[in-house]
Amino acid sequence: MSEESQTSSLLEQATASDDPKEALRLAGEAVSKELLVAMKAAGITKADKSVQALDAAGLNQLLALALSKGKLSYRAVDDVLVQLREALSKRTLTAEQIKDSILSFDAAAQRLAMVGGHGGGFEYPTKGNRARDSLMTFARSLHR
Amino acid sequence: MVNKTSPKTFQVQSQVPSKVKSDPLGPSPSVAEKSLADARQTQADQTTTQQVRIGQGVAPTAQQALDNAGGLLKAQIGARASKPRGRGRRTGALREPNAAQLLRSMKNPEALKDVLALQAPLRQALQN
Repeated sequence: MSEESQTSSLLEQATASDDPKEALRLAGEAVSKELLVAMKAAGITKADKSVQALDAAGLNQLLALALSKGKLSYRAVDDVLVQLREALSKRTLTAEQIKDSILSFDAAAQRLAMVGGHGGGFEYPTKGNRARDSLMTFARSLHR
Repeated sequence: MVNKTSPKTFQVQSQVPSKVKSDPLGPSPSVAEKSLADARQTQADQTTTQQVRIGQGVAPTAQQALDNAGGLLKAQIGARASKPRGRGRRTGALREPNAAQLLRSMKNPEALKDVLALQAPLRQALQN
């Protein structure tokens, strides 16, 4: 099965799913697959590593959610931060993994917003973006 | 060392009865303890005297300390400047992705539009 058809299949499964969590998981997986192919085609170095880092803390799901809404919402970031703090306290994820995941998310979102341009359907400003600020502040707090 | 610093030790040893040419057990505990205590006391006295003398010699007057402060500071600055930095990991500020760098790192940015094309199906999948 080609990457493209895999992505389509995952999105179809997500649409058919009654469980919102499962739908989000499948959508995140679809975005990761498509992003990896696109990053490689765009000639971005270390694309594999970047997407792996994104997936490690489940931020591919946040990217899927942001793409579906056209922007990153503060509410979505807040929910993710709760999950990440819990993962950190339970030691299911390390601070380094979470930090790398956030940085990968930020880089991917910035790239997508740049490529789309103004009015391109996805906005991700680096200034005056409370949702991004919140995410990056958390990443900075994990930086040692 | 004990014998050298304490002349009394020789005196005590001379009191050992002449019949005994060599005492395999050594001097009686009381004699040995006395000799050792004397030796320790002498050593302690010497050390104290030495410390006092050194202290007196080194302790600068207020004026000397003032004069020396500039020199000491210069020496510290010099030492710091000449000291090579270690190779260990240095943690500075978090390096956040920079838009210009991200754009430069892409040879074919248009390829990412395929991801943006997923927006509509994602909206449909996540409308719940």
